[in-house]
Amino acid sequence: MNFPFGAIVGQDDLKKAILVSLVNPLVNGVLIEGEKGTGKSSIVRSIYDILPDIEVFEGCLFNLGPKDEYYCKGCSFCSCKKKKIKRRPFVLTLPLNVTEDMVVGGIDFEKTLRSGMVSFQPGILARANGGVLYIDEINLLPDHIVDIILDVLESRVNIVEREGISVTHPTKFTLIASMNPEEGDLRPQLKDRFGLCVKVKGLRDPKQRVETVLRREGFDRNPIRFFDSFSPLNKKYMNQITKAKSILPRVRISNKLRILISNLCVEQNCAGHRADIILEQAAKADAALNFKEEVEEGHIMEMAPYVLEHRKRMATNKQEQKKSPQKKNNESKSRNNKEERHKSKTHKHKNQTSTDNEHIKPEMKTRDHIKTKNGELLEKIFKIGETFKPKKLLPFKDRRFRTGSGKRATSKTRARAGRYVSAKMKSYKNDIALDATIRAAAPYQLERKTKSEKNLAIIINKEDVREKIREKKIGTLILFLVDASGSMGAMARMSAAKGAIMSLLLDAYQKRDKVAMITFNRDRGRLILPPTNSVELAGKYLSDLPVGGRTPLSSGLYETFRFLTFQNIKDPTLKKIVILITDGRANVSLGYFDDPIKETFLMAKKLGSEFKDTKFFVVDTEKSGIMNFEMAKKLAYFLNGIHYKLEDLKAENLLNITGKELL
Amino acid sequence: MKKRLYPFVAIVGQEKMKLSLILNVINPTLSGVLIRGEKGTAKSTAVRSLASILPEIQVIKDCPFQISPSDSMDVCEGCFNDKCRELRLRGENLEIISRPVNVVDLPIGATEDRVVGTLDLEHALKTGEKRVEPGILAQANKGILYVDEVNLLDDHIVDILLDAAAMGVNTIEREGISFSHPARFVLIGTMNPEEGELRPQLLDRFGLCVHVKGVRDPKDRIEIMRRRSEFEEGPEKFIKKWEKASLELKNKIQRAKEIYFSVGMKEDLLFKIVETCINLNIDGHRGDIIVYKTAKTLAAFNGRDVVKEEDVDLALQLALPHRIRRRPFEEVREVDFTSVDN
Repeated sequence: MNFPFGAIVGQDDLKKAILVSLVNPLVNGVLIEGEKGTGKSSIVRSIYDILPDIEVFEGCLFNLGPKDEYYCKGCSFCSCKKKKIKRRPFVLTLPLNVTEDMVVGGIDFEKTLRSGMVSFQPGILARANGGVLYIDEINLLPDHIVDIILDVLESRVNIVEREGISVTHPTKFTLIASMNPEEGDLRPQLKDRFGLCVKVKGLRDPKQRVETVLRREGFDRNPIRFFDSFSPLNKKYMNQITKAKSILPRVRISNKLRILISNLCVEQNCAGHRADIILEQAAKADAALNFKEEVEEGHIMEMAPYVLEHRKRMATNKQEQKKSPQKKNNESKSRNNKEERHKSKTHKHKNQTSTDNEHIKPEMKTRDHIKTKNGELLEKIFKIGETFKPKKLLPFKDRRFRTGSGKRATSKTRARAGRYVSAKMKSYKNDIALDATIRAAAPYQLERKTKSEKNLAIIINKEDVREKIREKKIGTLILFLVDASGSMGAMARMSAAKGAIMSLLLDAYQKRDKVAMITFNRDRGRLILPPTNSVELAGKYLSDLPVGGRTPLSSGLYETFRFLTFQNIKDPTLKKIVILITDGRANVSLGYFDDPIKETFLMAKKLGSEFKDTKFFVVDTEKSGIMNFEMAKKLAYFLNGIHYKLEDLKAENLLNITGKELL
Repeated sequence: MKKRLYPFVAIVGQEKMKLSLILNVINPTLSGVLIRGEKGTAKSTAVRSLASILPEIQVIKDCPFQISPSDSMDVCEGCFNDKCRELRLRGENLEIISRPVNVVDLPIGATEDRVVGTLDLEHALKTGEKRVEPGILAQANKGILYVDEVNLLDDHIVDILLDAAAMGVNTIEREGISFSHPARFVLIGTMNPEEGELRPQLLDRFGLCVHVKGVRDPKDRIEIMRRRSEFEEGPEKFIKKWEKASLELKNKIQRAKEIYFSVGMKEDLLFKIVETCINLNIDGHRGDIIVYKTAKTLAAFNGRDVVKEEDVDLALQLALPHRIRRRPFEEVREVDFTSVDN
């Protein structure tokens, strides 16, 4: 029993997008972005009850219906008699534990063993035909699975070439995916392939919220009665969809409006023509939902935000351009931005940087001067300084680990701990994928059994053995150890340092690295950002980082020590980089030694010797000039790390060197 | 082997933790507790001993998914146990047993296939047939899923938990198996915040959150030692001694369960909840719903059928600390759980 669709309070944008995608699967799916607990999952689960029946051939493996009869020619996989039946469409959930063969389909070992004939087991893509495929937390799904699904969604054909099976079948389904951006974002190129995108927010109106709470309680108390009370409303939605679906093929669009569509897309500088095509389809569906046979300008304007919002590649101005009716007013504004966006059109990577450069304006102004009576600066917050284009930062790690996770036989137990995603031939590490092995052996069973005298259920030869390919979330953990003491405030050093961190953060985000941050000032070091994939979060912390107070450097190092120890327990295979940004002038000790500097060096030595696998970088913010203490340099020596001056930090120097050093 | 568990009622202090566990027993839709605290503060003891006060449920004998006779039929469609499925779908009587709900441990090192379930290898090799081998999520259905040191759990296992918790269904699509079964569980996690934080998405799945600290009062500390050694020396005798108190609590819980749905709340209190959540800038609606339910459960536990303001205040304390958006730097330590606790 699902929470009824009609009983969901608010979230009209989302409901609209879902209705449109149900009426016209050609809009290529809906991506729902939203914070936790906003009813994303509830709304999707409720769809089942408003879906009209579909017409299919009884027993067809691929859920084909009378409309797809063309594909049935020469089909040898199912023995359907092409008898038309009506049944409920499926709403399938794609779980995160899914393996590749279950998505595309593969050999059915049970049937194959029994009959001796290669038999096909349809995957989720075939089963979803005519229905809805729902992926919750799509940003947590392995990238290659997302790739496969989006590919098929768009081409509407699933081509299976594996395990001795060759099948091509059409499939048309509505894809609905949800994600919480806090958990890390979806790669931009994947996002672009979703037709519609909706950002869901919690309701702000107390009355609506109270209503939400009460309806939830009403449902929990007596689901059946609650459901029944809303079934007329659900029925209304269902009829609207059915009628719209029947109108859709007749919906026309004038050339004048086509020009409007393409103008809108050009204005938003969307890459490629996908946006144009989808906007047309969405507008048609919207017209059909309003029972109109002719697309009107209003339909296009209504659908434009859903289609263009996630394609326009703007880090800023999102709010202003949310709704399209105002879009025309914003025209001049978007023109201004056009040039920048134009530059970013060609390449994804470049694109991201230029957008973010725009986002983080290269200024070094300070704000929030908190002054005491003496006029002494206490703590202040520096804006993020100039960010620079990170060249390919540490590209090797990602690759080496990801493909290597199956091959590197460093430690068997470790290597067998990941997520089983697929299978391959030859076994080096005894991690047998039994299902794949049986599938490989299945077609030969009849033959082998006649030859063999032993009475076994399955005879498996050496060449059948398949081994698991596992994937583990890997990447690098970058810990920023940031000196937030008063001395860092001088000469806007903090601003430059923040700029450097931000650049690294942006790059880490795309490389799917994790970042963490420890700062030290006043009395001690603090872990202010536990390891996270969310660059948004890290950026927020960074920009609000205040500076002031004394320099408890040894305490910062001590926190780092604890942090690394814990991370080593959690995942010893994870590569770790520590970037220490300081002027090295420690003046607060932990209390083991009176001399804070001596204590700092001892602590650094311990860190360096204890964590030999961890790379340390010391970025020296001390102004080179008359009085040089070279503390940071010494610190780098003790840490067994590498020392840079802040001046070297500018442009790509640091990043490049970082990359080289790590190889 | 049946373990002899330290009785829940014999735990000294830690009232908030005990209360939040009891509330979840009364109303499983509160969806769990996160217990944060230092080592050796009776976190695990309390969770494990819950079994002694849990109400009984009726389930079909030998059903790996804890299906009750009152559950809807469609959950049994497609079950691999042919015999049991046929009988149930035909509406025939199956053997029903009554037993306390499961408390299932999710060990940190658990592999994905053990958690979600996987291809039954033995069955596949012996007979060549596909069959699912239910995992930990199946065992935990209708019960309590206990994760000790939840912050140390592997990321992809956390993802799976989130997935199942969100839908109340565990869907298996792996190794030739395509199967789904209900997986509604009360998630109880313990963690030591010193060892790292939880991901916000997972944090939000826990209905309530309590912070435990070692007991400060010397008298209580002595009492803890005394009771513990008494238990070690003669567990049976000790359990017997506390039996009456256990039974009383069990009955109180049972009564609360019965009156829960008749508990009413005045509208102004409801608005107070919603406005507090809006003012604290809490993501989504789960906060509102959990506070509302917690307040009602509290009233029911106290044998009342009307929610008082004090119930709401306590519910806010239990349900919101982990939902407050942590603002950068300064606020991280200010909005510590101790400050919300006081």
